[in-house]
Amino acid sequence: MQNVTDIEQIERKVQNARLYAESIVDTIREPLIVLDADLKVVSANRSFYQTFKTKPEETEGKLVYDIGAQQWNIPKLRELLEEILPKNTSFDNFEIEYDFPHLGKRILFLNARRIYGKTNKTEMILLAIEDITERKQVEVLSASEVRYRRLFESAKDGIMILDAETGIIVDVNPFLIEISGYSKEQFLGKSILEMGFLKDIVTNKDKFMELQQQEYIHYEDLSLKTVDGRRIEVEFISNVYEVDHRKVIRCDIRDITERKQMEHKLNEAYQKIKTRTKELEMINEHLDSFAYSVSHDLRAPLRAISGFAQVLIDTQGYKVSEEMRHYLDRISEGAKKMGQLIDDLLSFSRATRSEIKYEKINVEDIVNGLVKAYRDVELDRDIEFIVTPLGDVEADKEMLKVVFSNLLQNAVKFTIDRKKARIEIGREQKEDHIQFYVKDNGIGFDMKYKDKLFKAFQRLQTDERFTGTGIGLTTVKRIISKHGGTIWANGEVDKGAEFCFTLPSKGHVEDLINDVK
Amino acid sequence: MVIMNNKEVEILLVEDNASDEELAIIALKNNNIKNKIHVARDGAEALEYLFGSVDSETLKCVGPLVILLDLKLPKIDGLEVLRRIKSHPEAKKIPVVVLTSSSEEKDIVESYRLGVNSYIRKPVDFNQFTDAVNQIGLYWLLLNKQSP
Repeated sequence: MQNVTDIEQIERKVQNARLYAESIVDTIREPLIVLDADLKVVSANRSFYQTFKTKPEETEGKLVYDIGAQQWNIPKLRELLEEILPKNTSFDNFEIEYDFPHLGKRILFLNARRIYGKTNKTEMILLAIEDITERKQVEVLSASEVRYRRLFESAKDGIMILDAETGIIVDVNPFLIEISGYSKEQFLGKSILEMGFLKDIVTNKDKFMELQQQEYIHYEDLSLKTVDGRRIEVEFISNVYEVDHRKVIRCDIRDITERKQMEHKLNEAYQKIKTRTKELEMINEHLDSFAYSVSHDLRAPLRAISGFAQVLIDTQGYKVSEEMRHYLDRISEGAKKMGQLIDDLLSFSRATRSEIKYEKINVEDIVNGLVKAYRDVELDRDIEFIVTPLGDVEADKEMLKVVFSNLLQNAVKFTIDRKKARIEIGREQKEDHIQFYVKDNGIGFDMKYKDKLFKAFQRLQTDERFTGTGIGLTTVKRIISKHGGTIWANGEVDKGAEFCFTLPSKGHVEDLINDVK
Repeated sequence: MVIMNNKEVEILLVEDNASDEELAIIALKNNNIKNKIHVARDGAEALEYLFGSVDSETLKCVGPLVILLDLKLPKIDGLEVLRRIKSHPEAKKIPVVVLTSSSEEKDIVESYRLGVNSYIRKPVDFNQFTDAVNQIGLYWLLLNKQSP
């Protein structure tokens, strides 16, 4: 049994300890609250009530999550708080950001510990709330200052800071020193009006006033003189702003000498291309009129040669001997060959210089037209034409006609000694292009010579029945290449030949060429 | 076969090349076309023959049944002659057959745009030329005779 005095003494001690503790708690400038095991607020310090603009009546005895418009009802915080007592844990510096009704946006650090109650041994939680908003701002600011400084030091633009009142140069960055050739000492402390380097920007006091008064100035194409007398092209931008209640002018000076040189070179190149294109257009025009003249004037004498030889045979028939007739025929034949050669050369030159006029073409129409013409002419021959569906294609109609006309002409010619000639024209749809083929059962060719087929004036046949001008396949190849396709041939002597060519699915090669122009 | 003997109806042959002129006349004769043929040596001569003068707007000669027109001509070229004929309310009724060396697409297109009735490319081979004259020339001569 303890006596009353003892008990009173102990109680007084406890009371003193409590008052002592509470007075400490109250003097702490950080807001603190004490929670019981059910997370109800037992008490809070003065700082808490002041900071969060609340009163003990609105706080004490309430669940911590409910006070202050449930501003502490944060899932992660709940988790942490609810673990403290059962698991005997604590937490430090739990950061929350919250837009408080009276305070605005604040960043807080929360610290919590398990403590023991005032009078008995009930466990409680002490929650300390530290407002670190300002500290964070300072951190951010100094980080941005470091960043700014780094930018300033490493910028590939010259930067100069002026005092807006006096025009005294306060700072220059290394790049400005590099491009101007002046040292930092030569810049600092000088008035902008004294710096020869800048005299083209700030020619006089009025100009400086302009810098002072306008928030933003942008000059393009300024020329500055460096310390060694070189001229550099610059772009100049100035901004006026306030630092520590003093106005400064920040000037950005960008060296655009290289850009200007490039522009100049580009312009020169462009002019050259323009002149060259003009020249080429003129040459093309001359070629056009040349070809036109060839077409007219070169053929006229041939008509006279062939024509009058024929007239001679027709009118003097009875007086013309076999021998004379033979020579007259030769004259006539020669003239005709020459005529054919001129036609083929013209066709070749047209295929070379003409621009492709893309349109949607029904290929079967073209091929059937040509086949019909051959059927009408080659009445004494047995030729089987097989035309499989050929569909549509986007290409130059006249040029494609020349292609098929040449390939069919060859097929008809090289099957001349076949009792039954067989010529097949077909189409194969490939993934990204269209492929056509013309196949015959004629005399074929040796694959050794396949590359010679498409070269001008190269012929593989010496037999007079097969002679041509040697330009046909060259023209065909030129046309196919112009369309962005390829052509090749397969064959075997006496087993026939197959010519295949491709066209891109969409004929945009010419568009590309036009874009370049 | 004699198509007609009317000496008043004529064929106007506009041709600057003497050989071609001679060959054209032989080709016509070979086809038994015995109409009177008038030859103009250039575009200006052709217009003078038809309109009296190069600048005249009045058709002077209503004679020709058909005009055989070369394109590449001295002074005034064939396409211009064709344009003048086909834009004249009276003259445009005369069939015009272009007879030329050119197989240039632009000549063919332009000729048809201007209203040519036929376009023959002169072949080097004389027999083919005779055939062409036979087909086209004859057709227009016959057609013109039958229309009122």
